[in-house]
Amino acid sequence: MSIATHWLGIDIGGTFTDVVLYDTAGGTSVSLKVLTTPGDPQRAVLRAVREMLERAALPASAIGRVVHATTLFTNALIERRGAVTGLITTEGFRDTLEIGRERKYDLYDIAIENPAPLVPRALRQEVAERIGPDGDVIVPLDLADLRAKLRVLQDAGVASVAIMFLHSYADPTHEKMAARAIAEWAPGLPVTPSHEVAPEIREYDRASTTVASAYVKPLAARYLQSLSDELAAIGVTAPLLLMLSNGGLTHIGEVIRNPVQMLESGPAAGALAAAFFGARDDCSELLGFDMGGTTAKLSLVEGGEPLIAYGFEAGRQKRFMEGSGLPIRISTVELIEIGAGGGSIARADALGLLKVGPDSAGSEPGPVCYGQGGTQPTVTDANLLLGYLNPDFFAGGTIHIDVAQADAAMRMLAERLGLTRDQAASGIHTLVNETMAGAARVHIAEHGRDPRGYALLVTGGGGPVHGYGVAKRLGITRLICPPSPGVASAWGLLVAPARVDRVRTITFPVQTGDLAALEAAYVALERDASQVVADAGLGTAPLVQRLADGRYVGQGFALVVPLPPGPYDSDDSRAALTAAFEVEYRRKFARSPPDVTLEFIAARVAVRTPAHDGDLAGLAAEAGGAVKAHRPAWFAEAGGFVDTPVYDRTRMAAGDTFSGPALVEDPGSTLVIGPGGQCRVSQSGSILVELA
Amino acid sequence: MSRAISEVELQIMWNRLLSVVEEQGQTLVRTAFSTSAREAGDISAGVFDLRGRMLAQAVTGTPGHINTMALSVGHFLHDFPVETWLEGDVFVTNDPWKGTGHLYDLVVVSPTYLDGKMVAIFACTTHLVDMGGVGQTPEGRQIWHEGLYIPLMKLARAGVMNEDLLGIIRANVREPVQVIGDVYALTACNDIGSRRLVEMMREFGLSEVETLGEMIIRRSRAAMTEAIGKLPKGSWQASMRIDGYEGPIDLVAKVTIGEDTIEVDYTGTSGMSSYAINCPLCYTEAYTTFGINCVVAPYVPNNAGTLDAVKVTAPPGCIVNATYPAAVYARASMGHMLPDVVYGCLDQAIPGRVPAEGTSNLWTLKFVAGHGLTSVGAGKGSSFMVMSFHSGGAGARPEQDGLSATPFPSGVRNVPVEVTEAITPLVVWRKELRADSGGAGRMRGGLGQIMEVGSREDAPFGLFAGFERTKFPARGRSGGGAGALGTVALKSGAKLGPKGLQIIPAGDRVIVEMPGGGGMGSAAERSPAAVKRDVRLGYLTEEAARRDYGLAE
Repeated sequence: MSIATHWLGIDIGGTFTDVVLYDTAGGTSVSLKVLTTPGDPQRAVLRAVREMLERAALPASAIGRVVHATTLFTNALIERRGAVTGLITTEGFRDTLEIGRERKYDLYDIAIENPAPLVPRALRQEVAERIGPDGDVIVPLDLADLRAKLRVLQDAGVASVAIMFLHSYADPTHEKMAARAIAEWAPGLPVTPSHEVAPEIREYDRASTTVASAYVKPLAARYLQSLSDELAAIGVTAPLLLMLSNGGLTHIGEVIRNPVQMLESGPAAGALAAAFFGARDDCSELLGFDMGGTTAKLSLVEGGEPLIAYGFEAGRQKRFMEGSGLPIRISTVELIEIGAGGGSIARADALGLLKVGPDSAGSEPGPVCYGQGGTQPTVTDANLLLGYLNPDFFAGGTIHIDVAQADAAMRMLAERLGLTRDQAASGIHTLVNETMAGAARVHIAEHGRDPRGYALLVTGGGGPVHGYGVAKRLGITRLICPPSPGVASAWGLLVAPARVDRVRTITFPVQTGDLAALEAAYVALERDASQVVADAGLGTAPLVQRLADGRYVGQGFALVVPLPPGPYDSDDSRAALTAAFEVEYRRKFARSPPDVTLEFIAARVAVRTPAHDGDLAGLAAEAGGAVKAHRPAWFAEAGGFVDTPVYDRTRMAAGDTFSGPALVEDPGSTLVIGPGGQCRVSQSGSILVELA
Repeated sequence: MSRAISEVELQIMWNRLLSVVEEQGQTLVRTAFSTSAREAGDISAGVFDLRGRMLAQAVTGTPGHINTMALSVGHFLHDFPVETWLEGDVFVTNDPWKGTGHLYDLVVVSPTYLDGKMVAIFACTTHLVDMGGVGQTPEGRQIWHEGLYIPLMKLARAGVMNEDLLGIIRANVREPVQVIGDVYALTACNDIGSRRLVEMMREFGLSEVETLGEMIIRRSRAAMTEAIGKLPKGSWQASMRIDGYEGPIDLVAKVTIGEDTIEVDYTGTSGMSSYAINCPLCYTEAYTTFGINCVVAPYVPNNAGTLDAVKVTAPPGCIVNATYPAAVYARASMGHMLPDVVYGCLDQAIPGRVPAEGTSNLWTLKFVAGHGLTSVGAGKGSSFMVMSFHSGGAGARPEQDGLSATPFPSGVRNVPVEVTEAITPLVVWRKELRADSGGAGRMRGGLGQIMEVGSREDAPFGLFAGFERTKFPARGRSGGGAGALGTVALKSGAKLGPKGLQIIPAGDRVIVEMPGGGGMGSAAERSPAAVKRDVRLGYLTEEAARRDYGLAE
């Protein structure tokens, strides 16, 4: 057996599959981008892996770890390409999935449509049973009824079954009985009971999550098993680890048990990468800003770790409109998605004001300057005309750019707005910066924090172009641009820790509740989560964080707060739990109301291994002669265009310093630095910019 | 010192101002105790200039506060001249005629200071857990029945809370801790708004908001003028009969589209009721304006400029301009119906642009038990009061079926069944779409839903009913059929009334069948594929498919 010296990261997106190969001894990495093969996604992966091993002249046995993230399951949800799924509910509640929260998500739009339920009405069957919120059996489960309803579903050809009984978060007895019975009557038919997926109160959110899980389960099982088999067939025998939405790693079995955990795995890798690159320059409080062609994503890193949220919406019917998607209750890296990317279209809105996005020119036809038929100016066109992007070095010189067409389109828009061409172009750039800054400001304020305490870490094609302006608007004084920012996200796959989150609904008045029961609930959750970490072969002494969803009795919104470690066994514990909540509450909402009673309504644990200490080699202190040209670029501080030096990133050395205005080009992106920015190339290879 | 603002800066600062009030509103939703605020987003939050003109408002769950709060700030400025305000002052009222239409909503108004100078005003409002009086039922007959009445006054003076007022509130309400919690939540949300506005002004170097405000208002007004300019000019009249309390009510509207304004006059509408379904004019204006904006210019953010484009009038003493001392708790019974009447007019002016009539009024289930209601003394079961928002079907749209079990014009969400059951002994036995309830048509009306509710205890419970469309259905447009009527009955068979306290005896259940929305266009024009799909999904029984659509299988 040869020594495993390399790790492999695989990220399958809708358009591209990225593969990174990391040499653990040398600290170097190489990456490869190939087109995704949607019908048979492992084909692209295998091709890329083979090619990569050939190029590096490595045997497959040199791979010691494979980490995988993918948007395949998300796309299956959005495009409704999952399994024919049946749903079995408590009698009287088959329409919960369709009725939802009875909400018109856009108040002013009379033409909205709700997302179609993943399970059509005929495949939603009811059985007689009822357990109350206290766990008392009101109506026993009618197994004969269940058997008849299962037959209906089988006759309709379902390939997966979800079970959603009321109050199963409090007492799963009936769901367990039903799942066992179905397994006996229909061996091989995947069964997903709701208490195993999202044991939380609120029937619609739990049903939605459970059904989504059942819907992608057959696809996930088939795909992951075959990827694992085929990797083994070419000699890669290292265990296949999967990235979860919360940024943790786990094994195939856990993902097949509940595949919705993997829905946000790609963006999670990006947030981990931000944390990783920040840490290399001693920054643990970061705002990650990843801007691509159609959207931008913001993530917050605190104390070196991405913040976690406890639910999100998949497949929104109306882009970026809260409430228009399918609620998924899982732990996930907290991401703010903004509908502005390089391809976002600028236009005059109904009020005669400039508006950018969320419509995007995508890659077909793409920005006007691609010369593929686009006629409406985009963010990329504006950045080109402002001198930020180099027409002769687009995507490293692989795309031909037509400046004249972009210019003509921008002039037409400017005329409609009563502006000059440069005012329109700089307006687009500035407006995008403000949109990003505005979203970040609200997001950071919601956590009761001040943006000035963060460094901005820019990735993606657009992050480095807009980062300086965004940082300036937020009052952020430090910007970090990692090496190869265009492909930096995939690196997150290789530094991920194992992480498993578990949650359970509880009722615990903090002053009077049963402490022993609370302690027992946490211990049970910790045991379950630790087992998954151990099963993935990722360590047996993980870090455990307890959290609780708390609120004042009568409030509807619960705040998730970290708690001190257990055991909770005395009145001192009550004081400590109360204090932990109140500190967070005041930070968020300024003041606590008087005379109120505190309760915890859910117990959560996060069980993790430490992030991996694998590192990239730094830069050598040589090269030089990095200034390759000068060109005019537009800066508000300078009152217009100024002649600006253009640096070649590949020729920069650790310790190099320079000041803005400056443009730094590498094949995937251009870093734009305004006048007054002081830049230094760090040993880590990142460019650090201090803003005045 | 004021400074000029460029076109691009206007868009940037306007966006920022909208995100300031959005955060102000979110703070309220997250810290409030009342169900309607936290589950349904029944709140309002906005920023005003020193003349009391609203510059930006958060887009929240319901339009009922849209211009009620906007006008309210003007009343405060009238009673308390701006030069007498101090930093740290907070003002409050629940005056139905100067606030938002009933005593249950508290309006809280706070000044914003930049470097010691007052520069703006923040206001917010929400529906409280309780305000005393007879409770959340339309059975009050005079405003004094309905609870504590707080005239325009200071809630805090220069940063010191008015403990006398807080003491009076505590003594008059059923849930003092939660109500005071809501008062604090309202105050805090204005503080957050002020803080963010000051940060914004410093960042952009603004010393006042009037210049920006003037640009926002002018630009919005111009957009409204342009949108109205595209409409045909003239006057159109329509009316709609609804159940009312003691007898049917006719809502009559005349819409006049002018060069740059739309006037809506409710002359001809029935007089006031003895019960609490009366609607003050401020609330009438709110829903009328909202209904028009949805069709005419939904893309223009709401502010003093947009509000200026719609003029609403009604003769004093009619049910949509109810006068003191009428009981007004359930003013939404009228307010929610107004867009349907206005659309009756607009459908003549701009055919094919407005939806058919819908359930419109919320079918909120308010369950109660306790002394004096379902028992004398402690009784056998628990005491509780729980409110759960639900909706029937909405009207068919010009090119789409109506939304089933979805509110319009209100924008509230329901309360999950598991939540209701966890805090009461109630059991919801079913909650399902109601077949055949959507009005027939080329586009079908939205379906209502059926809920069946009993108790785990061997004790009676009560339902505070306040339901519409139980006698007069939501009508279709352009030949579309009417939606089904709503019904309330015991499982054992007896019918219950649609208004006021209804008792469900121990061991029995209540079955609530919510109305459906009206259809659009002739049923004969509906595509056979759509009819077959409706039958397959059980939205339509085969019998109704034959009867209404002539579908022969």
